[in-house]
Amino acid sequence: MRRIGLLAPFALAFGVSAAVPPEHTPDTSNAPPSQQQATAPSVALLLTPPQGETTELVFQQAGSNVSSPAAATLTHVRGGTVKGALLPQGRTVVAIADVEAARDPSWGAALFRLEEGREPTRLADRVYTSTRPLVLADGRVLVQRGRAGDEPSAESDSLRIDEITIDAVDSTSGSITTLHAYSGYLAFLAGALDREAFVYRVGPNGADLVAIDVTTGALRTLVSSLLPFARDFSVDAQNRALVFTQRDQRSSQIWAVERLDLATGTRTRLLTGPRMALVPHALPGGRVALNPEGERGLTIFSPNGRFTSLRPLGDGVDVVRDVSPDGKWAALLHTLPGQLPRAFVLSLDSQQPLPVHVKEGVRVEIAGVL
Amino acid sequence: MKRFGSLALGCALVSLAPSALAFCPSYTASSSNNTRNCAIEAIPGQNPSVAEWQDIFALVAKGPAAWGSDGPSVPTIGQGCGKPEPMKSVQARFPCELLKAIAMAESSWRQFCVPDRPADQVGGPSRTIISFDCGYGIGQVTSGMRTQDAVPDYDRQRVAGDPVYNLATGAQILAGKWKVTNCVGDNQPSVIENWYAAVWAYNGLAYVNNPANPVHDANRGVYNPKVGGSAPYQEKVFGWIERPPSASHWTSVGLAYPNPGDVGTSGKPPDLPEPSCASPTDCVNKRVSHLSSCLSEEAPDAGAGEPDASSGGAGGGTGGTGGSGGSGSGTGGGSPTADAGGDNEGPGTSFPDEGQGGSGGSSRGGRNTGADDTSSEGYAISCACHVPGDRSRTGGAAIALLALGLTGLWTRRASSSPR
Repeated sequence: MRRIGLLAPFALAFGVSAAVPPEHTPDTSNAPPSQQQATAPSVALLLTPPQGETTELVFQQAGSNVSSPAAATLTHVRGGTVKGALLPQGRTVVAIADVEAARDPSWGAALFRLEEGREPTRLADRVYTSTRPLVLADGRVLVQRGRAGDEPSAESDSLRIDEITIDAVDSTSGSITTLHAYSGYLAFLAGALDREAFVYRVGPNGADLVAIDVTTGALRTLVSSLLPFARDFSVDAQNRALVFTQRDQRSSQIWAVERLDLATGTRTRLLTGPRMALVPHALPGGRVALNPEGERGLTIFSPNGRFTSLRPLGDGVDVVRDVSPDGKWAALLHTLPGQLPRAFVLSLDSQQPLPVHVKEGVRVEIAGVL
Repeated sequence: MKRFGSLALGCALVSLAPSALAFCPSYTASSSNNTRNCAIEAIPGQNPSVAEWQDIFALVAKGPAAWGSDGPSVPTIGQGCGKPEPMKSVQARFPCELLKAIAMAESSWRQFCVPDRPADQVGGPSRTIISFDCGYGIGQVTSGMRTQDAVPDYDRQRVAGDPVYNLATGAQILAGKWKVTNCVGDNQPSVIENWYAAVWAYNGLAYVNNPANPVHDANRGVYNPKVGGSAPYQEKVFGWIERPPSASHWTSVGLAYPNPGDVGTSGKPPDLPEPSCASPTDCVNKRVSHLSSCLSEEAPDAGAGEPDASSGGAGGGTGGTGGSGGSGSGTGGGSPTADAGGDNEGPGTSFPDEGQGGSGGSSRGGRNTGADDTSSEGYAISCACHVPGDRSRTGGAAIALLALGLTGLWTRRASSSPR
C-alpha cells in the first residue's frame, strides 16, 4: 500500500502519458553481448512452422549464433499451438499440443513428455487448447481437461458449458488424478505456490479465483467474483501474491495490473493503461516486469515503487515466459502484432539482454530456462 | 452441381500454399477410420478453380433469392438494431468477403481434393474433403452430417457433392447464427464487421472464441495466417480478409474490431457498439467498419422480389464511438487502492489519473489506420467487387463510382431514417 502511495504523485505530476517516468532507460537495443554471455543459460524452445504439423524441442544457448539441433520432434495438427514447461532439474519438457483437427479446438489438445533422443510420450488427452502445463515442484503436472457440452439453445444467453477438471498428471507414469471439477467455460491454471494451485474460473455466472490444494483438492476462494477479463497471471513468491491484468470495473477502455494477496484477498493496483497487453510477470525480489506503454517495450516495477524502462529490443511487447532457477535470468518473447515473436534472455542483475538464436520462419515458444 | 458442373472438369486449384494443399482428409462414411459417424459418402469431383470459385461466391453472397434451387432455403434475417435503423426482416444476403474468408479458414476453398488421410483413403481419386469430425466440403458443413444427427433441412448428398449447394448451406447456417446472436453495430448485413458475433457462432458459441480468453496472447493483433498462433475463430476469419492468400482471391480489407473490453463477458457476445478498434488487441488506434463490395445495394424487405435500389445501402452512421481513452498509464489513484476483502470488483475504486478523457473524435473517433478505407457516412467501402460473368476485377474508376453512388444512397437514406 505504501508503494502505491509513493507512486501516486508521479501519476498526478506527469499526467496520463508520463505516468511511468523513465527513471532509468539504458540503451540496450544495440548492446553487444557482454562477458555475461559466458554464463548465459540455455533455453528450452518449442519451434513450430506457422502452418506446420511438427514442433521441435531445441535447447539453445543464449547468445550463441549457432542453432542447436532438435532434441525431440512432436507431431500435431497442422497449424496447431504448442506450449510447454520444463520439469524440475532436468532437460525434460512437458508440452500441450493440438492433436485433433476438429471444428472446435477447445478440448482437442494433449499433454506430451519430450525428452532428448526419445519419441514423445502422450500423457493425457482432452486437454484445453493453447494452454501451458503447470509443473509443480514435486514434478507432477497440472492441466485443464474437459468435455464439450451441448451447443446452447437459441434462447440461452450462455455460451456452451463444458465439464472441466483440473488434473494432476504423473509425468513419468502418466497416471492422472482429478483435483477439481467445474462446470463452466474455463478453469485456467494461473500459477502455484507451495501446496496450492490457483485457478481462474469463468462460467455463465461470472468469474472467480480459487486456490486448490494440490494434495487434497480442497478449495479456497480467493476472489468470489471478478470481471471475466483477467489474464497473464504469475506468482510473486516474495509477496505471496498473484499478479495479473484485469479490465477496469467501469471503463472497457482501461486495463490494470493488479496484485492479489493470496492470504488476505486484498487487491492492489500497480498500474493502469489503455491496452490489455500490459502482460505483467512477477520476478524475484518482488519486482514485476510489465509493458505499461503498450508497444513500447519492457519496464521493471521495483518494490520501492520505481519504474525502470528497459526496452531491450525496442518497440513491442516483451513477455516473460520463465525465470531461471537461480533467479538471475528471465526468458522472454519480444512480440509485435501479427509477426513471429523473437526470443531473448535478460540478465536480472545487469538488465542486459542476450539474443536466443532461432532459425528463420518458425514460431517460437519458450518452455523454460535451464 | 448443375450450375457448375461444366466448370468442374480439368480445373486446377492455384495460388494456395503447398502446405495448405497437402492437408486433405476424407473421412468418408465407409472408411474404417470414420470414428465420428460421418453419414455421407465422399463424392468424386474436381475442385473448381479460383476463378470459378469467384463466380460461386458472387452467387451465394446474393442469397437464396439469387441461388434459388441451387441451395437450401433460408429464412429472412433481421436488419437494423435501432442504432438508428429499426429492425426489419430482409432476405438474407452475405458479404462475399466473409464467405471467401470463412471458406479459406475452413477448407482452403476446397470441395474436392485427393485425400492424404485417413490411411484407407490415401491415394484415391479426388473427392469430397471431409474432416474427421464430419465437416463436409468448402464450408465444412458439420451440422446434420453425422448418423446420429437429426435430418437437417438441406440435402446432405448435395452438401457432399455440389460446391454451390455446400457453400449456400454454409451461408444458411451463418444466417441462422446471425439471427440468434446479439446486434453488432446497427446490425447491417452489408457491413462486414457486423457479422462478428455470427462468425463466432458459426464455429460454435464456445469460450475458446472469446477474445478475453487468457489462452490468446494479449498482443496478438490482427491474425496473420503466415504467423499462426491461437486466436478466436472470428479473428482468424477477419484476419484472412485482411491478408488474402493472393490478389486473385480477394483484395485486402482492414476490418475494424470490437473493443475486447466490451466483448469478453460471461455469456454470449453482448449487444456491441459499431466495431472501431484497429485490431482485436488494440483499441487505442481506430478503424472504420466496411460495407461489403458485393452488397452495395439495399437488401430487399422480406417478400420483396427484387432489390429496391432507391432504398440505399447500409444504414447511416451509428453515432460516435468516441475517441480512445487516452493513455492511462499510472498508478491506482491518489491513495492506496487496496480493496478490502477481495470480493466483488470494488465499486469504490476511483482512479483520477486513468486518462479517460481522450479526444472525443468524430462520429467514428480516432484515426483511421485501415489501408484501404474510404470512409463515407462512417463506413468504408471494401474494394474490388467481382462482377459475375466478368473475370476481370473492377478498377479504381468503378470503385470511385461505387463510392459516389453509395454516398448518394446514404444521403437519401440518412435523411429519411427515423432517429
